[in-house]
Amino acid sequence: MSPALLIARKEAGELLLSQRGLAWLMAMTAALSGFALLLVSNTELSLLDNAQVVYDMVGIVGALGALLAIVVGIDSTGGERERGSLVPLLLVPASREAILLGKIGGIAIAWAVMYGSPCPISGRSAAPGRTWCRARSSLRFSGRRPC
Amino acid sequence: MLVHIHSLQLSRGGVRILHDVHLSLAAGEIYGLLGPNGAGKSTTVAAALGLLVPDAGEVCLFERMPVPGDAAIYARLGVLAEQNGFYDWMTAEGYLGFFARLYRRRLATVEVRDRLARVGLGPRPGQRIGTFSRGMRQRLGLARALIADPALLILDEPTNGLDPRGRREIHDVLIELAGRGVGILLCTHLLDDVDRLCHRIGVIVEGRTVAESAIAELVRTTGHMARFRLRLSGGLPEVRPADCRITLLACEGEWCLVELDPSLAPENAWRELMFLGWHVTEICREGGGLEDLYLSVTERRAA
Repeated sequence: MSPALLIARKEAGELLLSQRGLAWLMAMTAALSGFALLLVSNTELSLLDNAQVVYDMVGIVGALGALLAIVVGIDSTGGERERGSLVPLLLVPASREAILLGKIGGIAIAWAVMYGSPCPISGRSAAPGRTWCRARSSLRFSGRRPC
Repeated sequence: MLVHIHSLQLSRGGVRILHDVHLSLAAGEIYGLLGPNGAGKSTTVAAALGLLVPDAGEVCLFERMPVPGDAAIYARLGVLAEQNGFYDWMTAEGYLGFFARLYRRRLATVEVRDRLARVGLGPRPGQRIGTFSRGMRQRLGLARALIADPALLILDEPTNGLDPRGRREIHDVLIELAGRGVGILLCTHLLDDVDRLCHRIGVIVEGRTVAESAIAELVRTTGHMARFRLRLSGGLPEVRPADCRITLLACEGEWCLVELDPSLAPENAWRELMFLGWHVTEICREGGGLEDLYLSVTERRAA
């Protein structure tokens, strides 16, 4: 296995197994739950329809996930340097590019996890199921804002 | 030479940290890098590892200049750095396995456990590094440094936080490695470690190498030979030791003060004295040796 892949795996493992990573995921989940609650309450007040809620939620998940992935990425370099665990990594027989690639790979995995983990919340926020499917189809194929 | 540093100068943040540092380390040698806090030892090590770029001077590892990411150098190098962080969520086995794979070594679980046992870390299945004590982390760091069977080991305070037995175990490991031809650069404040392990030392004060030589030679040339106060039952015998490396300095009642040349192991000196009929009942160290040498070299410079 290439050093970049090994480091990416380690970074992903850190996100899913370390207390710090889990804390970030919990924070993300809490934030998304809050947004979902707000959007659903808007649906109850008939201010938004279900498809609109799904559309907004997907956008929020994408943006917030990307933001958090950036924070996790900064932590994986700056934080490691602070904790003193970066130096041993810099002294392995791997190029700096491979280490950087591994870190970026780790951030990509983190973003994928961030993006994937709140899917059930998004689904829940759009009831009934037919509307959810229709909204997803609209997003996927038309690229237009569904109404 | 495994490490060769000549007239190294280095600045950080506009401040000159190293002015003139010299260091050379051959295979099979243990070199002690000494100096007061802030003298520039860790900066010297960082420059030697290629982590900091020198302003002037020569730095060579394995006869070539270290460049970040140079696999040919780093594959033969084991490092225990001053800031020794770990991934607290991993187990010791997982951590060592991760670094072994980065060094392109495939180690079975049994081998990983053997490596851990070698530095005194018993099997701890499922226990995360976050729960390890300082001494256990230090041992794990040493196991990581040894993972690639390096030709050169650079260790910054390797026995920090270890209990006396642990220190002795690590000493034995390092002596065995040096016997197999591994060069070891040891940064430490523990003069006992240096006295026991090192063949040569270098003392850095305020970014300059102020002394560099074999310990025995340095102690002899600076006149800081080890002194011992001996208690003799039955007074001082007529017969004096023939070995010129034992010098009788003074006698007062049943006590006498002797000075030993660093090339003579104290136990051999006592054996010789007892063979001559000296009834030694108590031996007390009276300073001298490496500690006095270190204090005088660092004081002289500070003054």
